[in-house]
Amino acid sequence: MSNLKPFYDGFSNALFRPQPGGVPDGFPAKAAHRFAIYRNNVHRGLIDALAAAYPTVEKLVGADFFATLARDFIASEHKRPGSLALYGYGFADFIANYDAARGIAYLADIARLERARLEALHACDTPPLAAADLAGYEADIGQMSFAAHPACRLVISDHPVMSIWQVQNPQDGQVRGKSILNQSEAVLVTRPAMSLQMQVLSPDAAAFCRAVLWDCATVEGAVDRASEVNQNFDITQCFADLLLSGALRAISCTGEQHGR
Amino acid sequence: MTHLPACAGVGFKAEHASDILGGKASVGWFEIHPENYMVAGGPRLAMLADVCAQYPVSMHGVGLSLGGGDPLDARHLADLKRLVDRFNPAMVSEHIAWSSHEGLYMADLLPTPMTKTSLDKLVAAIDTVQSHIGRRILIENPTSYLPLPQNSISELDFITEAARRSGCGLLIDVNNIYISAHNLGFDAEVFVDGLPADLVGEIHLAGHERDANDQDSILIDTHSRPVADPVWALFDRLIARIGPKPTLIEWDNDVPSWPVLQHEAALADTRLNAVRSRAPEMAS
Repeated sequence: MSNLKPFYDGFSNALFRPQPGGVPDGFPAKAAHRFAIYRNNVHRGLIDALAAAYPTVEKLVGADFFATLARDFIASEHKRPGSLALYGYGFADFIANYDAARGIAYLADIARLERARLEALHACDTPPLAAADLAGYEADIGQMSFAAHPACRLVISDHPVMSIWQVQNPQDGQVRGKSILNQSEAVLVTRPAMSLQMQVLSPDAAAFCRAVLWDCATVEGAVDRASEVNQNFDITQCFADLLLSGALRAISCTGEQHGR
Repeated sequence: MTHLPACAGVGFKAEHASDILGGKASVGWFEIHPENYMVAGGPRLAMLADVCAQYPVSMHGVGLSLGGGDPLDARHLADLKRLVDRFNPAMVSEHIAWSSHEGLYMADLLPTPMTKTSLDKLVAAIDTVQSHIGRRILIENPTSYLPLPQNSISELDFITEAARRSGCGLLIDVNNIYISAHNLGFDAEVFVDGLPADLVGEIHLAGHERDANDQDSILIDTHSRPVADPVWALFDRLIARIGPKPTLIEWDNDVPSWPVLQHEAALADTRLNAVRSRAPEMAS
Protein backbone atom coordinates (compact mmCIF):
# COMPACT_ATOMS: atom_id res chain seq x y z
CA MET A 1 0.00 0.00 0.00
CA SER A 2 1.68 3.19 -1.11
CA ASN A 3 -0.93 5.88 -0.51
CA LEU A 4 -1.80 6.27 3.15
CA LYS A 5 -4.23 9.16 2.81
CA PRO A 6 -7.27 6.84 2.97
CA PHE A 7 -5.91 5.43 6.24
CA TYR A 8 -5.54 8.86 7.89
CA ASP A 9 -8.87 10.06 6.49
CA GLY A 10 -10.68 6.95 7.61
CA PHE A 11 -9.14 6.85 11.07
CA SER A 12 -9.82 10.57 11.68
CA ASN A 13 -13.40 10.37 10.45
CA ALA A 14 -14.12 7.37 12.63
CA LEU A 15 -12.76 9.20 15.69
CA PHE A 16 -15.45 11.82 15.28
CA ARG A 17 -18.20 9.60 13.89
CA PRO A 18 -21.23 9.89 16.17
CA GLN A 19 -22.03 6.20 16.55
CA PRO A 20 -19.82 4.71 19.28
CA GLY A 21 -19.47 1.29 17.62
CA GLY A 22 -17.83 2.61 14.46
CA VAL A 23 -14.40 1.55 13.22
CA PRO A 24 -12.33 3.00 10.37
CA ASP A 25 -12.92 1.47 6.94
CA GLY A 26 -10.84 -1.67 6.53
CA PHE A 27 -10.88 -2.55 10.23
CA PRO A 28 -12.85 -5.55 11.52
CA ALA A 29 -16.00 -4.79 13.50
CA LYS A 30 -14.55 -6.62 16.50
CA ALA A 31 -11.91 -3.89 16.71
CA ALA A 32 -14.62 -1.42 17.81
CA HIS A 33 -13.83 -1.75 21.49
CA ARG A 34 -10.12 -1.18 20.94
CA PHE A 35 -10.67 1.68 18.53
CA ALA A 36 -12.91 3.30 21.14
CA ILE A 37 -9.85 3.69 23.39
CA TYR A 38 -8.40 6.14 20.86
CA ARG A 39 -11.75 7.88 20.43
CA ASN A 40 -12.14 8.28 24.18
CA ASN A 41 -8.58 9.57 24.56
CA VAL A 42 -9.08 12.17 21.83
CA HIS A 43 -12.36 13.47 23.24
CA ARG A 44 -11.19 13.33 26.84
CA GLY A 45 -7.98 15.18 25.95
CA LEU A 46 -9.78 18.01 24.17
CA ILE A 47 -12.61 18.30 26.70
CA ASP A 48 -10.10 18.40 29.57
CA ALA A 49 -8.08 21.08 27.79
CA LEU A 50 -11.21 23.19 27.29
CA ALA A 51 -12.23 22.66 30.92
CA ALA A 52 -8.77 23.78 32.04
CA ALA A 53 -9.20 27.00 30.06
CA TYR A 54 -12.81 27.58 31.16
CA PRO A 55 -13.06 26.14 34.69
CA THR A 56 -15.76 28.55 35.86
CA VAL A 57 -17.97 27.77 32.86
CA GLU A 58 -17.66 24.10 33.79
CA LYS A 59 -18.55 24.81 37.43
CA LEU A 60 -21.62 26.80 36.40
CA VAL A 61 -23.08 24.18 34.06
CA GLY A 62 -21.71 20.98 35.63
CA ALA A 63 -19.31 18.43 34.14
CA ASP A 64 -21.93 16.52 32.11
CA PHE A 65 -23.41 19.53 30.34
CA PHE A 66 -19.91 20.95 29.84
CA ALA A 67 -18.79 17.72 28.15
CA THR A 68 -21.73 17.95 25.71
CA LEU A 69 -21.07 21.63 25.07
CA ALA A 70 -17.35 20.92 24.57
CA ARG A 71 -18.03 18.03 22.16
CA ASP A 72 -20.22 20.27 20.03
CA PHE A 73 -17.60 23.05 20.10
CA ILE A 74 -14.85 20.56 19.16
CA ALA A 75 -16.97 19.29 16.27
CA SER A 76 -17.34 22.86 14.99
CA GLU A 77 -13.57 23.52 14.81
CA HIS A 78 -11.77 23.57 11.47
CA LYS A 79 -8.25 24.26 12.74
CA ARG A 80 -6.62 23.24 15.99
CA PRO A 81 -2.89 23.83 16.60
CA GLY A 82 -0.67 21.17 18.16
CA SER A 83 -0.30 23.20 21.35
CA LEU A 84 -3.35 23.52 23.59
CA ALA A 85 -1.77 26.17 25.83
CA LEU A 86 -4.17 28.80 24.43
CA TYR A 87 -6.93 26.39 23.46
CA GLY A 88 -10.54 27.50 23.22
CA TYR A 89 -10.48 30.62 21.04
CA GLY A 90 -14.06 31.36 20.00
CA PHE A 91 -15.68 29.33 22.80
CA ALA A 92 -17.52 32.39 24.19
CA ASP A 93 -19.13 33.16 20.82
CA PHE A 94 -19.98 29.49 20.43
CA ILE A 95 -21.74 29.53 23.82
CA ALA A 96 -23.60 32.73 22.90
CA ASN A 97 -25.15 30.88 19.94
CA TYR A 98 -25.70 27.56 21.74
CA ASP A 99 -29.42 27.01 22.17
CA ALA A 100 -29.17 24.70 25.18
CA ALA A 101 -27.21 27.37 27.10
CA ARG A 102 -29.67 30.23 26.44
CA GLY A 103 -31.09 29.81 29.95
CA ILE A 104 -27.82 31.08 31.47
CA ALA A 105 -27.65 34.53 29.95
CA TYR A 106 -24.28 35.40 31.49
CA LEU A 107 -22.47 32.18 30.52
CA ALA A 108 -20.91 33.54 27.32
CA ASP A 109 -19.56 36.56 29.17
CA ILE A 110 -18.07 34.35 31.90
CA ALA A 111 -16.31 32.53 29.06
CA ARG A 112 -15.10 35.91 27.71
CA LEU A 113 -13.70 36.73 31.14
CA GLU A 114 -11.93 33.36 31.37
CA ARG A 115 -10.52 33.78 27.87
CA ALA A 116 -9.27 37.25 28.83
CA ARG A 117 -7.57 35.75 31.89
CA LEU A 118 -5.91 32.99 29.85
CA GLU A 119 -4.66 35.40 27.18
CA ALA A 120 -3.40 37.85 29.79
CA LEU A 121 -1.64 35.06 31.69
CA HIS A 122 0.38 33.95 28.67
CA ALA A 123 0.93 37.33 26.98
CA CYS A 124 4.46 38.59 26.38
CA ASP A 125 6.57 40.14 29.10
CA THR A 126 6.93 43.72 27.76
CA PRO A 127 7.45 46.12 30.67
CA PRO A 128 4.34 48.15 31.54
CA LEU A 129 4.29 51.92 31.42
CA ALA A 130 5.45 53.35 34.77
CA ALA A 131 4.67 56.74 36.26
CA ALA A 132 8.35 57.66 35.95
CA ASP A 133 8.14 57.20 32.17
CA LEU A 134 5.79 60.18 32.05
CA ALA A 135 8.09 62.57 33.92
CA GLY A 136 8.45 65.73 31.87
CA TYR A 137 5.33 64.99 29.78
CA GLU A 138 2.81 66.22 32.38
CA ALA A 139 1.68 69.17 30.26
CA ASP A 140 1.18 66.99 27.17
CA ILE A 141 -0.67 64.00 28.63
CA GLY A 142 -4.07 65.26 27.50
CA GLN A 143 -2.99 65.02 23.87
CA MET A 144 -1.31 61.63 24.25
CA SER A 145 -2.74 58.20 23.56
CA PHE A 146 -1.63 54.91 25.07
CA ALA A 147 -1.68 51.28 24.00
CA ALA A 148 -2.82 48.45 26.23
CA HIS A 149 -0.11 46.23 27.68
CA PRO A 150 -0.21 42.81 25.93
CA ALA A 151 -1.42 41.30 29.23
CA CYS A 152 -4.29 43.78 29.61
CA ARG A 153 -7.88 42.90 28.69
CA LEU A 154 -11.10 44.81 29.24
CA VAL A 155 -14.29 42.74 29.48
CA ILE A 156 -17.53 44.73 29.46
CA SER A 157 -20.64 42.75 30.25
CA ASP A 158 -24.35 43.43 30.76
CA HIS A 159 -24.07 40.95 33.64
CA PRO A 160 -22.20 40.95 36.98
CA VAL A 161 -19.50 38.66 35.58
CA MET A 162 -16.80 39.44 38.12
CA SER A 163 -19.18 38.90 41.05
CA ILE A 164 -20.31 35.57 39.59
CA TRP A 165 -16.70 34.56 38.96
CA GLN A 166 -15.75 35.38 42.57
CA VAL A 167 -18.60 33.32 44.00
CA GLN A 168 -17.43 30.34 41.94
CA ASN A 169 -13.76 30.87 42.81
CA PRO A 170 -13.62 32.02 46.44
CA GLN A 171 -10.17 33.14 47.53
CA ASP A 172 -8.77 32.58 51.00
CA GLY A 173 -10.27 34.97 53.50
CA GLN A 174 -13.00 36.15 51.15
CA VAL A 175 -16.46 36.44 52.65
CA ARG A 176 -18.80 33.85 51.17
CA GLY A 177 -22.48 34.34 50.53
CA LYS A 178 -22.11 37.84 49.15
CA SER A 179 -25.30 38.85 47.35
CA ILE A 180 -24.94 39.72 43.69
CA LEU A 181 -26.67 42.73 42.18
CA ASN A 182 -27.98 42.09 38.71
CA GLN A 183 -26.04 44.89 37.02
CA SER A 184 -23.49 45.27 34.29
CA GLU A 185 -19.80 45.03 35.18
CA ALA A 186 -16.67 46.11 33.33
CA VAL A 187 -13.63 44.08 34.38
CA LEU A 188 -10.04 45.11 33.79
CA VAL A 189 -7.74 42.07 33.66
CA THR A 190 -4.01 42.72 34.06
CA ARG A 191 -0.89 40.80 35.09
CA PRO A 192 1.31 43.01 37.26
CA ALA A 193 4.36 41.17 38.65
CA MET A 194 3.41 37.93 36.81
CA SER A 195 0.18 37.54 38.78
CA LEU A 196 -3.32 37.89 37.31
CA GLN A 197 -5.40 40.72 38.74
CA MET A 198 -9.02 41.61 38.07
CA GLN A 199 -10.84 44.79 39.07
CA VAL A 200 -14.36 46.01 38.45
CA LEU A 201 -14.30 49.51 37.00
CA SER A 202 -16.84 52.17 37.87
CA PRO A 203 -19.01 53.16 34.87
CA ASP A 204 -17.02 56.36 34.25
CA ALA A 205 -13.65 54.57 34.55
CA ALA A 206 -14.98 51.87 32.21
CA ALA A 207 -15.87 54.55 29.64
CA PHE A 208 -12.39 56.05 30.01
CA CYS A 209 -10.62 52.68 29.68
CA ARG A 210 -12.75 51.67 26.74
CA ALA A 211 -11.85 54.89 24.94
CA VAL A 212 -8.13 54.60 25.74
CA LEU A 213 -7.65 50.83 25.37
CA TRP A 214 -10.04 49.99 22.53
CA ASP A 215 -10.51 53.19 20.58
CA CYS A 216 -7.00 54.71 20.91
CA ALA A 217 -8.55 57.97 22.06
CA THR A 218 -6.32 60.70 23.46
CA VAL A 219 -6.52 61.11 27.23
CA GLU A 220 -8.52 64.30 26.70
CA GLY A 221 -10.95 62.53 24.40
CA ALA A 222 -11.30 59.68 26.87
CA VAL A 223 -11.97 62.10 29.72
CA ASP A 224 -14.77 63.62 27.66
CA ARG A 225 -16.31 60.18 27.25
CA ALA A 226 -16.00 59.43 30.97
CA SER A 227 -17.47 62.81 31.85
CA GLU A 228 -20.57 61.99 29.83
CA VAL A 229 -21.11 59.17 32.33
CA ASN A 230 -20.07 61.10 35.43
CA GLN A 231 -19.43 64.84 35.50
CA ASN A 232 -17.14 64.38 38.50
CA PHE A 233 -14.93 61.74 36.85
CA ASP A 234 -11.59 61.57 38.72
CA ILE A 235 -8.99 61.22 35.98
CA THR A 236 -6.06 61.40 38.38
CA GLN A 237 -7.24 58.43 40.42
CA CYS A 238 -8.26 56.43 37.36
CA PHE A 239 -4.98 56.97 35.53
CA ALA A 240 -2.96 56.15 38.65
CA ASP A 241 -4.92 52.87 38.95
CA LEU A 242 -4.15 52.01 35.34
CA LEU A 243 -0.43 52.60 35.88
CA LEU A 244 -0.41 50.63 39.13
CA SER A 245 -2.11 47.61 37.54
CA GLY A 246 0.27 47.58 34.56
CA ALA A 247 -2.51 48.14 32.03
CA LEU A 248 -0.55 50.35 29.62
CA ARG A 249 2.40 49.69 27.38
CA ALA A 250 3.70 52.53 25.30
CA ILE A 251 3.59 56.28 24.85
CA SER A 252 2.04 56.30 21.39
CA CYS A 253 -0.95 54.43 20.07
CA THR A 254 0.03 51.39 18.02
CA GLY A 255 -3.42 50.88 16.60
CA GLU A 256 -3.58 47.47 18.27
CA GLN A 257 -6.93 46.74 19.82
CA HIS A 258 -8.39 43.92 21.80
CA GLY A 259 -11.94 42.86 21.14
CA ARG A 260 -14.48 42.31 23.86
CA MET B 1 24.89 21.95 26.26
CA THR B 2 24.21 19.95 29.43
CA HIS B 3 23.77 16.25 28.80
CA LEU B 4 20.94 14.30 30.32
CA PRO B 5 22.51 12.27 33.15
CA ALA B 6 22.07 8.47 33.15
CA CYS B 7 19.87 8.57 36.24
CA ALA B 8 16.17 8.95 37.03
CA GLY B 9 14.18 12.03 36.09
CA VAL B 10 10.49 12.90 36.41
CA GLY B 11 7.95 15.02 34.58
CA PHE B 12 7.83 18.58 35.91
CA LYS B 13 4.46 19.52 37.42
CA ALA B 14 3.66 23.05 38.62
CA GLU B 15 2.09 21.60 41.79
CA HIS B 16 5.52 20.23 42.77
CA ALA B 17 7.36 23.52 42.12
CA SER B 18 7.81 24.42 45.78
CA ASP B 19 9.28 20.95 46.46
CA ILE B 20 11.65 21.21 43.52
CA LEU B 21 12.88 24.77 43.09
CA GLY B 22 15.76 25.76 45.28
CA GLY B 23 17.62 22.58 44.35
CA LYS B 24 15.71 20.54 46.92
CA ALA B 25 14.77 17.60 44.69
CA SER B 26 16.86 14.47 44.71
CA VAL B 27 16.10 13.59 41.11
CA GLY B 28 18.63 14.18 38.39
CA TRP B 29 16.52 15.91 35.76
CA PHE B 30 13.05 16.97 34.64
CA GLU B 31 10.99 16.48 31.52
CA ILE B 32 8.52 18.99 30.10
CA HIS B 33 6.22 18.97 27.08
CA PRO B 34 7.22 21.96 24.94
CA GLU B 35 3.59 22.36 23.80
CA ASN B 36 2.64 23.57 27.28
CA TYR B 37 5.15 26.40 26.95
CA MET B 38 4.30 27.61 23.45
CA VAL B 39 3.13 30.97 24.78
CA ALA B 40 4.53 34.48 24.44
CA GLY B 41 5.41 35.09 28.10
CA GLY B 42 4.05 35.04 31.62
CA PRO B 43 4.58 33.01 34.78
CA ARG B 44 4.65 29.57 33.15
CA LEU B 45 7.67 30.41 31.02
CA ALA B 46 9.27 32.15 34.00
CA MET B 47 8.88 28.97 36.04
CA LEU B 48 10.43 26.91 33.25
CA ALA B 49 13.39 29.30 33.26
CA ASP B 50 13.79 28.60 36.99
CA VAL B 51 13.68 24.82 36.46
CA CYS B 52 16.18 25.02 33.59
CA ALA B 53 18.52 27.12 35.73
CA GLN B 54 18.63 24.40 38.39
CA TYR B 55 18.26 21.04 36.61
CA PRO B 56 18.93 19.45 33.21
CA VAL B 57 15.63 19.50 31.29
CA SER B 58 14.38 17.24 28.51
CA MET B 59 11.83 18.62 26.02
CA HIS B 60 9.54 15.79 25.03
CA GLY B 61 7.11 16.83 22.31
CA VAL B 62 3.59 15.49 21.91
CA GLY B 63 2.27 17.66 19.08
CA LEU B 64 4.57 17.52 16.04
CA SER B 65 2.71 14.58 14.48
CA LEU B 66 5.89 13.11 12.97
CA GLY B 67 4.08 9.99 11.83
CA GLY B 68 1.12 11.73 10.24
CA GLY B 69 -0.12 12.36 6.74
CA ASP B 70 0.12 16.17 6.97
CA PRO B 71 3.31 18.11 6.25
CA LEU B 72 4.89 19.28 9.52
CA ASP B 73 3.24 22.44 10.88
CA ALA B 74 5.71 25.29 10.24
CA ARG B 75 4.33 27.34 13.11
CA HIS B 76 4.70 24.45 15.55
CA LEU B 77 8.23 23.83 14.38
CA ALA B 78 9.09 27.51 14.79
CA ASP B 79 7.62 27.52 18.31
CA LEU B 80 9.69 24.45 19.19
CA LYS B 81 12.84 26.04 17.83
CA ARG B 82 12.20 29.19 19.87
CA LEU B 83 11.96 27.12 23.07
CA VAL B 84 15.03 25.02 22.21
CA ASP B 85 17.05 28.14 21.40
CA ARG B 86 15.98 29.92 24.57
CA PHE B 87 16.31 27.08 27.10
CA ASN B 88 18.94 24.87 25.46
CA PRO B 89 17.49 21.63 26.87
CA ALA B 90 19.65 18.59 27.53
CA MET B 91 17.47 16.49 25.20
CA VAL B 92 14.73 16.91 22.61
CA SER B 93 12.42 14.03 21.74
CA GLU B 94 9.12 13.23 20.02
CA HIS B 95 6.84 10.28 19.33
CA ILE B 96 6.42 7.86 16.47
CA ALA B 97 2.77 8.75 16.19
CA TRP B 98 0.40 11.16 14.55
CA SER B 99 -1.76 13.68 16.35
CA SER B 100 -2.97 16.07 13.64
CA HIS B 101 -4.95 15.53 10.46
CA GLU B 102 -5.62 18.29 7.94
CA GLY B 103 -4.73 20.94 10.48
CA LEU B 104 -6.87 19.54 13.29
CA TYR B 105 -4.92 18.49 16.38
CA MET B 106 -6.41 15.43 18.11
CA ALA B 107 -4.74 15.68 21.54
CA ASP B 108 -3.70 12.01 21.41
CA LEU B 109 -0.85 9.91 20.04
CA LEU B 110 -2.46 7.92 17.24
CA PRO B 111 -0.89 4.85 15.62
CA THR B 112 1.28 5.34 12.55
CA PRO B 113 0.96 2.55 9.97
CA MET B 114 4.27 0.76 9.63
CA THR B 115 4.89 0.54 5.88
CA LYS B 116 7.67 1.49 3.49
CA THR B 117 5.81 4.69 2.54
CA SER B 118 5.21 5.80 6.11
CA LEU B 119 8.83 4.98 6.99
CA ASP B 120 10.10 7.21 4.18
CA LYS B 121 7.78 9.99 5.34
CA LEU B 122 8.81 9.59 8.99
CA VAL B 123 12.51 9.71 8.11
CA ALA B 124 11.92 12.90 6.10
CA ALA B 125 9.95 14.45 8.98
CA ILE B 126 12.68 13.65 11.52
CA ASP B 127 15.25 15.08 9.14
CA THR B 128 13.23 18.29 8.84
CA VAL B 129 13.00 18.66 12.62
CA GLN B 130 16.68 17.94 13.19
CA SER B 131 17.72 20.39 10.48
CA HIS B 132 15.33 23.04 11.75
CA ILE B 133 16.35 22.97 15.40
CA GLY B 134 19.96 22.09 14.64
CA ARG B 135 20.22 19.03 16.86
CA ARG B 136 19.70 15.30 17.02
CA ILE B 137 16.42 14.17 18.52
CA LEU B 138 15.15 10.89 19.98
CA ILE B 139 11.93 9.23 18.83
CA GLU B 140 9.73 7.13 21.10
CA ASN B 141 8.18 3.74 20.34
CA PRO B 142 4.34 3.86 20.42
CA THR B 143 1.71 2.28 22.64
CA SER B 144 -0.59 0.09 20.54
CA TYR B 145 -4.17 -0.89 21.23
CA LEU B 146 -5.09 -2.52 17.95
CA PRO B 147 -3.21 -4.04 15.03
CA LEU B 148 -3.39 -1.91 11.88
CA PRO B 149 -4.31 -3.92 8.76
CA GLN B 150 -1.96 -1.62 6.79
CA ASN B 151 1.20 -2.70 8.67
CA SER B 152 3.86 -4.47 6.60
CA ILE B 153 7.03 -3.87 8.66
CA SER B 154 7.58 -5.07 12.23
CA GLU B 155 7.72 -2.35 14.87
CA LEU B 156 11.28 -3.22 15.87
CA ASP B 157 12.48 -2.98 12.26
CA PHE B 158 10.45 0.18 11.69
CA ILE B 159 11.83 2.17 14.62
CA THR B 160 15.39 0.92 14.12
CA GLU B 161 15.34 1.78 10.43
CA ALA B 162 13.80 5.21 11.11
CA ALA B 163 16.60 6.02 13.55
CA ARG B 164 19.41 4.62 11.40
CA ARG B 165 18.30 6.45 8.27
CA SER B 166 17.51 9.81 9.90
CA GLY B 167 20.44 9.80 12.31
CA CYS B 168 18.18 10.27 15.33
CA GLY B 169 18.23 8.13 18.47
CA LEU B 170 15.59 6.05 20.22
CA LEU B 171 13.67 6.85 23.37
CA ILE B 172 12.53 3.44 24.56
CA ASP B 173 9.34 3.41 26.58
CA VAL B 174 9.46 0.04 28.34
CA ASN B 175 5.87 0.37 29.56
CA ASN B 176 4.77 0.91 25.95
CA ILE B 177 6.59 -2.28 24.92
CA TYR B 178 4.88 -4.24 27.70
CA ILE B 179 1.44 -2.83 26.81
CA SER B 180 1.84 -3.29 23.04
CA ALA B 181 3.20 -6.83 23.48
CA HIS B 182 0.17 -7.70 25.59
CA ASN B 183 -2.36 -5.98 23.32
CA LEU B 184 -0.94 -7.15 19.99
CA GLY B 185 0.45 -10.50 21.13
CA PHE B 186 4.19 -10.26 20.58
CA ASP B 187 7.03 -11.23 22.92
CA ALA B 188 8.20 -8.20 24.92
CA GLU B 189 11.51 -9.82 25.91
CA VAL B 190 12.40 -10.60 22.30
CA PHE B 191 11.59 -6.98 21.42
CA VAL B 192 13.74 -5.62 24.25
CA ASP B 193 16.62 -7.95 23.34
CA GLY B 194 16.46 -6.80 19.71
CA LEU B 195 16.83 -3.07 20.43
CA PRO B 196 20.10 -1.68 19.07
CA ALA B 197 22.10 -0.57 22.13
CA ASP B 198 23.93 2.17 20.26
CA LEU B 199 20.70 3.99 19.37
CA VAL B 200 19.00 4.09 22.78
CA GLY B 201 19.44 7.53 24.37
CA GLU B 202 16.73 7.50 26.99
CA ILE B 203 14.18 5.22 28.67
CA HIS B 204 10.62 5.90 29.83
CA LEU B 205 8.78 4.01 32.59
CA ALA B 206 5.15 4.46 33.60
CA GLY B 207 2.17 2.77 35.20
CA HIS B 208 -0.68 1.27 33.20
CA GLU B 209 -4.16 -0.07 33.89
CA ARG B 210 -6.25 -2.98 32.67
CA ASP B 211 -9.32 -1.99 30.69
CA ALA B 212 -12.57 -2.96 32.40
CA ASN B 213 -13.82 -5.23 29.66
CA ASP B 214 -13.83 -8.93 30.24
CA GLN B 215 -14.19 -10.09 26.64
CA ASP B 216 -10.94 -8.57 25.47
CA SER B 217 -8.13 -7.96 27.96
CA ILE B 218 -6.42 -4.70 27.05
CA LEU B 219 -3.79 -2.73 28.91
CA ILE B 220 -4.05 1.05 28.74
CA ASP B 221 -1.17 3.49 29.04
CA THR B 222 -2.66 5.68 31.77
CA HIS B 223 0.48 7.11 33.46
CA SER B 224 -1.63 7.04 36.62
CA ARG B 225 0.07 4.48 38.85
CA PRO B 226 3.42 3.14 40.04
CA VAL B 227 5.46 1.18 37.49
CA ALA B 228 4.26 -2.45 37.34
CA ASP B 229 6.59 -5.32 38.34
CA PRO B 230 6.80 -6.90 34.84
CA VAL B 231 7.79 -3.49 33.44
CA TRP B 232 10.55 -3.17 36.05
CA ALA B 233 11.73 -6.65 34.99
CA LEU B 234 11.90 -5.59 31.34
CA PHE B 235 13.74 -2.43 32.37
CA ASP B 236 16.30 -4.51 34.30
CA ARG B 237 16.73 -6.75 31.28
CA LEU B 238 17.28 -3.78 28.97
CA ILE B 239 19.78 -1.86 31.11
CA ALA B 240 21.69 -5.04 32.00
CA ARG B 241 22.50 -5.26 28.28
CA ILE B 242 22.81 -1.62 27.17
CA GLY B 243 23.94 0.01 30.42
CA PRO B 244 22.38 2.79 32.48
CA LYS B 245 20.50 5.47 30.52
CA PRO B 246 18.55 8.60 31.53
CA THR B 247 15.26 7.13 32.77
CA LEU B 248 12.01 9.04 33.16
CA ILE B 249 9.21 8.11 35.53
CA GLU B 250 5.98 9.27 33.83
CA TRP B 251 3.09 9.94 36.19
CA ASP B 252 0.69 12.42 34.60
CA ASN B 253 -2.76 11.43 35.90
CA ASP B 254 -3.76 11.11 39.55
CA VAL B 255 -0.44 12.91 40.11
CA PRO B 256 0.98 11.88 43.51
CA SER B 257 2.60 14.08 46.14
CA TRP B 258 6.25 14.94 45.56
CA PRO B 259 7.64 12.39 48.08
CA VAL B 260 5.75 9.56 46.36
CA LEU B 261 7.02 10.57 42.93
CA GLN B 262 10.54 11.03 44.25
CA HIS B 263 10.38 7.54 45.78
CA GLU B 264 9.38 6.04 42.42
CA ALA B 265 12.36 7.78 40.80
CA ALA B 266 14.62 6.41 43.56
CA LEU B 267 13.49 2.88 42.65
CA ALA B 268 14.74 3.46 39.10
CA ASP B 269 18.00 4.92 40.41
CA THR B 270 18.58 1.84 42.58
CA ARG B 271 18.35 -0.36 39.50
CA LEU B 272 20.52 1.94 37.39
CA ASN B 273 23.14 2.01 40.15
CA ALA B 274 23.07 -1.78 40.43
CA VAL B 275 23.94 -2.06 36.75
CA ARG B 276 26.61 0.61 37.10
CA SER B 277 28.28 -1.23 39.98
CA ARG B 278 28.17 -4.59 38.19
CA ALA B 279 29.69 -3.27 34.99
CA PRO B 280 31.32 0.11 35.60
CA GLU B 281 32.68 0.22 32.05
CA MET B 282 29.10 0.44 30.75
CA ALA B 283 28.32 3.52 32.76
CA SER B 284 27.77 6.51 30.55
